[in-house]
Amino acid sequence: MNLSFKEKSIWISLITTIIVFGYYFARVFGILNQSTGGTTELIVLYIGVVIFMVILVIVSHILLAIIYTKEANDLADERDKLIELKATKSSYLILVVGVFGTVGNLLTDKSPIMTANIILLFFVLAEIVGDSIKLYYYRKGV
Amino acid sequence: MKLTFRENSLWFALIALTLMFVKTFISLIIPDFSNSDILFFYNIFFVITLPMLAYIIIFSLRNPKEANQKSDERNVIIENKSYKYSYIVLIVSHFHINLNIFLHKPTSTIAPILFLYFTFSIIIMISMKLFYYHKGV
Repeated sequence: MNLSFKEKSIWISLITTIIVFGYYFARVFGILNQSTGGTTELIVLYIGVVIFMVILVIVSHILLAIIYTKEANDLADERDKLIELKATKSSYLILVVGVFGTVGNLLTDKSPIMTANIILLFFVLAEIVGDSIKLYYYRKGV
Repeated sequence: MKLTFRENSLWFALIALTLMFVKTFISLIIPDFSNSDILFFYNIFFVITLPMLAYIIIFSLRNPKEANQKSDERNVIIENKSYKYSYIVLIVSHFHINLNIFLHKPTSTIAPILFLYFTFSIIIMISMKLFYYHKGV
């Protein structure tokens, strides 16, 4: 399967997001299931994962740009922009669901750590759905 | 300036939502305000919303063809472009709320802030739609 530079870039973002945040949420639910607090541990984990994710995405994209220099300098065309907009719309809808989910959580559970993680969960879901939709349109056509 | 049915509906929605936004914002800054003058703002909201609904119904009855017109290519692009700005506002809101949580701000303020950002994201979306309808896309 011949992938374009943009598709490779999206695949990297998608895979790193799933692995890093998959690990993060597995750890979070483990800590939250313990009877003892662990709030500081969660905050450190949260900040650590966000910083690690940012560094990982930047480094992987720099490497990708070095390997595929010619393709990396191509400007986004009409098709790319349309795919981006369609994916953003779906991501936006996921975030809207997240807003209502967070408010719903606040009505039942006042734990701030849980609220922060629900917000992050929907943000990650929005990114995963957005990337998946982009890949779908790049393959299927728009 | 002659506005289309879509633009008129958007203007009504924009005014109503801006009033809701201002009301929530003021009540967040001045806690006493939320109890004393809340009815005043809700009244204004209904004063705007009811004419909006009346306008949509009357227009739909008088010009069913224009009211039921399906979105064309231009409308779809305008809509998708507006979602983009709304999405950015929601992302910023998520980070701001998480920052609030880490700074140990009271949980009771999170819901109004979230509501405020959500309203603001829709205001941005409608404003961008009106901008693109006017300026062209």
